[in-house]
Amino acid sequence: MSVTAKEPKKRSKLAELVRRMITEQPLGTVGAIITLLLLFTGIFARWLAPYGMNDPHPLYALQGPSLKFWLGTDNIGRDLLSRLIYGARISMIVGLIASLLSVVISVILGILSAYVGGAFDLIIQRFVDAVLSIPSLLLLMVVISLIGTGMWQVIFCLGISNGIGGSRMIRSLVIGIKSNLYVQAAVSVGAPTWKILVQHILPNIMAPIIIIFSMTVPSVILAEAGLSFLGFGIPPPAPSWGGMLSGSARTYMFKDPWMAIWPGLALAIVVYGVNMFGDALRDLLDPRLRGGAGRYGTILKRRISKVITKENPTE
Amino acid sequence: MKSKIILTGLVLLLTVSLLSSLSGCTKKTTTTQSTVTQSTTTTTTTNANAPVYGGTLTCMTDWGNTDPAGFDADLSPAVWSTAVWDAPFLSWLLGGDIDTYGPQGTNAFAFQSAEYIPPQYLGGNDLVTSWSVTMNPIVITLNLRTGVTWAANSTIGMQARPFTSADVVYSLTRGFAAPIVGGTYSFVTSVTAPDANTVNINCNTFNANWAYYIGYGYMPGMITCPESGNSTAGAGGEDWRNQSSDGPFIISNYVSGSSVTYTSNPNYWGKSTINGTSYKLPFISTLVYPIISDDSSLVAAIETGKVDWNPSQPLSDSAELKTGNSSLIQDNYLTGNAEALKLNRLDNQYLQNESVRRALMMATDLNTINNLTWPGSTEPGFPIAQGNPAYTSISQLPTSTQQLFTYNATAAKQAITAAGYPNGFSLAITIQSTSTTDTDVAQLLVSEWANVGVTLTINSIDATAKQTLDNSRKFDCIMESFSCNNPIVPLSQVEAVAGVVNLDVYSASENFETMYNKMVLDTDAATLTADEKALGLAILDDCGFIPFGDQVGLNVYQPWIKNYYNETDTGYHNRVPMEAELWIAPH
Repeated sequence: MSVTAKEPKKRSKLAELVRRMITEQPLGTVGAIITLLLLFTGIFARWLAPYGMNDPHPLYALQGPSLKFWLGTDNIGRDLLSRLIYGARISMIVGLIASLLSVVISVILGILSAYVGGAFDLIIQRFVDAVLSIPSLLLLMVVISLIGTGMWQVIFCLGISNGIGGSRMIRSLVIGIKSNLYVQAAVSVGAPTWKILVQHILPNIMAPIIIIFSMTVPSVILAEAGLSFLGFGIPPPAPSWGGMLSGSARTYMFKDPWMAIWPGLALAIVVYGVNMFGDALRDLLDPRLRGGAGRYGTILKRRISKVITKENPTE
Repeated sequence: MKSKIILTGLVLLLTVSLLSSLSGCTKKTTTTQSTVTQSTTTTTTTNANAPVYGGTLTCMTDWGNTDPAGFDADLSPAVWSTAVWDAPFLSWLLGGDIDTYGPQGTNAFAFQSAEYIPPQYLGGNDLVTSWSVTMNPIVITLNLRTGVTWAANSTIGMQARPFTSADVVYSLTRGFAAPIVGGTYSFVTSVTAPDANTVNINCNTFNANWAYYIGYGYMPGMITCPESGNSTAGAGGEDWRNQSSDGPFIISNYVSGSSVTYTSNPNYWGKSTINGTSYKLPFISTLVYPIISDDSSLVAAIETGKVDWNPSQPLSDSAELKTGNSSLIQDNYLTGNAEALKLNRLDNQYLQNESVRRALMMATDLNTINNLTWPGSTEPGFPIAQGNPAYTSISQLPTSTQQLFTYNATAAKQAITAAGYPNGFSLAITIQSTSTTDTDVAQLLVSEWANVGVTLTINSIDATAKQTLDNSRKFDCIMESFSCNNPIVPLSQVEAVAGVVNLDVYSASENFETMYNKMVLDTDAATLTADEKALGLAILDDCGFIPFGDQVGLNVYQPWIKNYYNETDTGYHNRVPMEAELWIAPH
């Protein structure tokens, strides 16, 4: 009877990432669940919402939570749960598309600026400096007041403004990579520039790009909420969470606090969750950018080392 | 272990505080659907038998959220607010006679609707005692009060002297030439003084609204001021120190961002008869108009008694004030302010069709919108407010107009189909982004008009951009605010005549212009009322505007204010006649 040794089962990279996320990053896992919930709610809002997002029920205006309206109603009798669910869709669309646009702009500007260098780099970087020197909220408000309010206008503005700022990080990464031997080798054999950028540089900055994307999503969601709160975001009657916090919610804040509590809570939970998820991804994908003393893994390691020291005081 | 205990304690504390705050929030509130009619009082009036002299009254003005723009009643860049800041010490030519016709007299008029006094209720403690109009030539003759004295002012070297017709001629002439008036006084050719107590206003055409423009509205000239203060070197009349007084008070201090203080004028001519005894006015010795910029501070000031009276408290504060100070007296009244949705009947291809406009009004659930956004009123406030004699209630409207006020989505849908739009159409509603009520109304309309196949998109923009769209008629429908107490003003805004406003959605070739032109020439009060009523009805029936409810105001005052009968207005936001007649009970 011959015994053949079983080879250890190889996991895919994604499965390995998920395993590490669950075992090493419990807070990140919670964040990932919140992010998935946001995506699920946003995609299936139509089926999940008990009522239409703009259906008024005048006889039930300003009601607290009840069996009929689980989270209560606003001042014109609209179901707050339904509006929150549809609001998740807006946050999801704005968060994902604006972050994607932002990353694309960051990558194009950052790679070109770093790789081409010289006067081109100088001009691009001074432009980036100029944009960064203007308070972002003020800049967004001015631009939106010129082009008008709307979801696509908000996505466009947030994508561009975040993209220009984010290009600084991509540039610094590319400057580090372009001095590597394999890039210089590709140049010396006469590889075209586009090929060097796409085949040699881009793959090496993919991990930071994913991290930048995951960190941009919550900031974009917050910025959209802020703009909508100030009346420069998604116009009514669309149930943007920021917009739901503004307008009549401020008037009826003391009379019917649910109007402000639910969208505020949803916004806080989602931003916190996506942030935690982004942090965890960063720790897993790029250990060089790992967080400091507050990180769960660091605290865990410190505790373990304390226990070991107590058990083996001579070590 | 210690840290775990502290952490557990903190978590428990946080949970308890969160639960307690949430439990306080579970109180269900229901929408109020009470109807307010003119002069509805929720509490009894507070009167005491014996008047008391002295004390300080702190009263909010309608412009108390910011500093006065100046004190020169003619040349101030914001004459409407300066008129109110100046009213305690500079008497107006005309005003409402609260003693005779108000709640303490015959109760013919409540003096609560802002700005407008029907001509028959004019003539109280003001400078003009009587007037007459002759038509050939057109002359308005004002007979002035005698025995009125200007107070001395050592700052400008002014001695006390009698008030004469020369003062009125000076003020009116100066006011008519002020840059802010535009063409308002184009009906006046000159102002003359045949004697010391008479003023003639010579006109090229009669204007039925003359008393408002010259006597008690907000335009320059109606507040008479002596020349000496205005001609003083430096800031002239803009500086409060250069002002004299012929009113019940003398301005004594102004602290920017804090308050304007007035002390009683010992030479004031006004008197009040109470229980058969004549008393010299004013009763209070000091009047303070505070400057409070935010609503929460104002609520706190009223709750704690720092402010004695605010006739224009936001209605939304009512519940909080009841909770915070149950002894406060609250009175709801109809303000005469209303909003209307203006439909662009000239430029929009769908709205040019009258049957489409009528269908849209029938597709609008006015009762629901009024109850949710302007609770308390079920009657329309536009174009004529309920307090005015020319007002027609819904129940008395012609049947064709009455049916517009009944929500009927089925009939509306049929009308739109019959008009040739079986698949509906799209419109945009323009609103001001800072207005929460406009936003709520627009959101309700999106839902209601969708039921009749009309897709409504909301164009929420800032005030300047909205005004630009309004002026250039680049809108489908737009939310507008109107003060509808003085029928001639909103009617002139509706009608495109060479009058006050010529920016609206009516063409000059309409029947409305003929009706309007006849109305403004009416000299007889009854004819004027009839013509106002007819034009108001025609405008409602034409459906160029979808009118919303007459807005309800909140008058709040402390229980120690006596001899006050809930009046809020004796002219353009003028409360001085009431302030002069009330007294403060010891408290």
